[in-house]
Amino acid sequence: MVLAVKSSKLYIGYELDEGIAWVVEDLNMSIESNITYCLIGESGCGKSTIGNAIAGLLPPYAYTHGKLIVMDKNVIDEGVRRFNGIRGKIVVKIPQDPASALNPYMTIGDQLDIAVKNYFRNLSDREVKAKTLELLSEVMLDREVYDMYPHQLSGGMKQRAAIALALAPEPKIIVADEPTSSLDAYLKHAIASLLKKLQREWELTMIFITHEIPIAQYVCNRVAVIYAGRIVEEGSASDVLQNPRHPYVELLLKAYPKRLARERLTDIPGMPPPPGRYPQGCKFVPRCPYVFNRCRIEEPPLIALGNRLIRCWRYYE
Amino acid sequence: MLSLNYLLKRFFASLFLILGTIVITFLLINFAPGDPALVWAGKPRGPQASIAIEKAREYLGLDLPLYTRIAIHVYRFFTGDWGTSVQFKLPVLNLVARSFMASLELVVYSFIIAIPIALWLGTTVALRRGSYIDRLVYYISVVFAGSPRFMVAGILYLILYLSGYSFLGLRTSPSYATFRGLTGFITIDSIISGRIDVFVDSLLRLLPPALALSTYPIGVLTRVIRVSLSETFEEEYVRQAISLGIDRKSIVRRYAYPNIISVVAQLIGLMFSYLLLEAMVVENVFVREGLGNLVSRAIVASDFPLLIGATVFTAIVLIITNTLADVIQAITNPRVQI
Amino acid sequence: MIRSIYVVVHDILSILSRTWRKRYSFRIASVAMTFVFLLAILGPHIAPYPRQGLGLDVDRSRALLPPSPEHLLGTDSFGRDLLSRILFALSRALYPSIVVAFVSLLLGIAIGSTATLLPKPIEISLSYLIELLLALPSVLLAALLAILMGGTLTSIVVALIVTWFPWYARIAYIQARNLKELDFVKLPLYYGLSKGYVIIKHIAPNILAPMLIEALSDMGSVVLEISTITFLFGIGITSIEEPDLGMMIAYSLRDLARAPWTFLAPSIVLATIAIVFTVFGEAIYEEHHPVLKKRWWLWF
Repeated sequence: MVLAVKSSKLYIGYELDEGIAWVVEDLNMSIESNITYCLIGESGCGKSTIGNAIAGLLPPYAYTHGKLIVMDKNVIDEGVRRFNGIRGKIVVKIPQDPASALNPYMTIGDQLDIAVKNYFRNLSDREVKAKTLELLSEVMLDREVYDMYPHQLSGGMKQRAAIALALAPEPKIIVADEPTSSLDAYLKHAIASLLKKLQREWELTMIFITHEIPIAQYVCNRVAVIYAGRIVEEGSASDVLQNPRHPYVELLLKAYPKRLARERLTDIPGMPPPPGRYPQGCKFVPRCPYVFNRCRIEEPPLIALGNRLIRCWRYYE
Repeated sequence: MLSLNYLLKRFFASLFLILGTIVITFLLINFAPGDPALVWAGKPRGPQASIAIEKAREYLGLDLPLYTRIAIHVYRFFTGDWGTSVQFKLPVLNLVARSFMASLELVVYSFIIAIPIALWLGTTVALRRGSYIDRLVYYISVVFAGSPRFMVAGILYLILYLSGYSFLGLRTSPSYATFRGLTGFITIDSIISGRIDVFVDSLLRLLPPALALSTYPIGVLTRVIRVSLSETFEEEYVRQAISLGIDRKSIVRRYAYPNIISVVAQLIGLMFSYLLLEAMVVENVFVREGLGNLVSRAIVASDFPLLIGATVFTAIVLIITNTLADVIQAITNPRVQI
Repeated sequence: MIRSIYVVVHDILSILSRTWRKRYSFRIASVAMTFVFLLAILGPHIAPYPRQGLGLDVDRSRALLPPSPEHLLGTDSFGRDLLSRILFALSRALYPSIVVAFVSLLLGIAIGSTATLLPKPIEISLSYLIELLLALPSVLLAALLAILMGGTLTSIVVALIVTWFPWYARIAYIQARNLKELDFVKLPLYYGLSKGYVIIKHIAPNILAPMLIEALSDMGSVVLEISTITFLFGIGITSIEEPDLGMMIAYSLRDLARAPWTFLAPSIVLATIAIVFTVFGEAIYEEHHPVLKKRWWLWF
């Protein structure tokens, strides 16, 4: 089976006044194709950066080490980045804020037409329009949307239009960067279902970045929890999200209200460390309830535990 | 988006402004220091003076009540009676319109030259911000825009003169002096009448001053286009388009350019008034007929009616141009809900 | 009152020092500007041939000499040393432009900020009046006033003030309107403090600093405008001998091919003044409205 994404010892960092701040460190990830893979974490933990890297959208002033291979193409090789081969054809990104993905000066139809025409150059105008209308119906938008401007659509419709735009080049991988975070509760479910359906029907590899656990539970096959630029636990969605092993994941799940339960919500004290100022040893030490000596000295490696990977000294034998 | 409501609002606003200009001229004519009739007659001296002053007094109707005078004044303006030039003994409106057309031709051609150049330059440096070309073009445009137009015109004139260019000065060579056209744009009129020789001659005489004049819009527009395009490139939807793999040329053409039309249109409207005045300077250096020439002679002869006419005409054109620029902005910016 | 002045001065100094630190072009421009001001003040005293500069010493036999060690910029058609003429003309050019720029500024701020606090009908008529004045072309108005008031420098200054202050008035009006919504202006008004007090103490200090700097930058354009008017119409001077940049350039056109330095020297001086003042203003503007956020252009 072809791996959609494979990274080995991937580091991504940005330049700050004091030097380079590494947002992502020593990332070793293998994502199979045709599944929905979730990246979960708090804001600023680096999940968006990983998504950007996979989608080929790292800014030119970023620094990289290690390797990233997307569908057999060497996208990142130490300091060299070759994004041109994968943008659009293989990977597309759906941004967090749907409104900003759409050009406010063009109708939805025009934008989709351009995207379609860019990839299928030998189609006539009529065929291009037909394809665009097809895309619109895939995301469950009416034909009228073709002639409308983005500001005339509601938030949910804009998000669907952005998804349609992303599907235009018929990519193999879609990186969805928090697609539901800016929507209200009802729409969250609707869009999540849409994405799930699209992944199945189009046989896509969906990389779903989110910080909302219930959505992840609903949508994902496999999950990787990121903390401070590293994977701390990875496995199938049911395993990780029902029986978490890593203390961070445990606390994360406890912090989420479960339907109508009346239990007390626990807060995770403290804040994640900013990139560039990671403490020595395990990065979760300041907030971990199970801290012991070894945690402070050395950072645990990612080890296999059954079907999952985990980064915690408690499970090290 | 454009709506009838907006158009009507702008139309009446500009009408109101034009009215205001006419009122201001009324005040200037009647309430400036000195005897209005004397000023209107052009401060004449000599034996015929008192007759001229009497005629002016009659024309202005100084013994009539104020309201009547205002009404007459406004009525006259709207029916085309703007007085008679003291110097030329001809109706002011005709004189002003003709000279104005000459200057307008210069301004229009300078825009025709400037806009493509500024677009090309601005796009090139927007795509290469921070590079040497960027800094270089920036400083060149500052120099272009900031230099006095008579300096640019003088240098160009000197260069052309020394290199033997014979099409300097005047709008057409003296042998075509009797050529009369409809629009006042010699280049257009000559084509309409089929006189290609006049066309070529006038065009060659038009290009050097238009080139000198175009340095101002080139300087300003290049910088504005550079900034606007850069801002557009930083928008999220452009990033999304990049993510979709759309190529650079298409992005510039279909995503970036439409965004800057409104800014550019507005700026052109603003620059228009300034360019009209700069055109007067350039005409002076290149010895062309035009508004500058007319006004200079009017001052020397104390030709007050002519000057008032020139001011009102120019103001009206400016008001109309600014309104047009605003309307174009409303058309091209679908987010502007009026 | 002293407090407001202190606040404004402090704002200006912080803007200036920040731009000084960050932008190379700004440093060059400010140094050049101070140099220009110095020359304008000291000019008449350091001119090598003061009598020629003032036009009192005319000797046709010296006419149209090219630049030489005795006459660093050559002589004009009347045999007057060009360098001295320019030095005298500089001071003559700068003083009226200071007057125009700052009087227009004060007038504009006064009208613009009070307009927001006056009753609606007056406010609307004032803003209409400002729009109207903006449509008037300055050069033609100067010509008009030249006939009415006699073609003196005063008439030019008045014409320019009338056409310049609406720009400041409009900016001040928009800023004051925004400030009016903020609490620290609303509350004093609710409590019944006099509007004049509110304007002077609360509104004006907040809009004064950037506008003062803009007025300083606009001085360059004013100098250019005055020269344009004198160039075109020959008004604003009392005698042909008086040195004026615009006039000098106008007269030099006759001998353009024979003696290009008579044209180039004053033109380049004028161009330098205009450009330096413009760069000064633009550097500050760019510093405070940063456009370059992330270097996205490299993406293509």
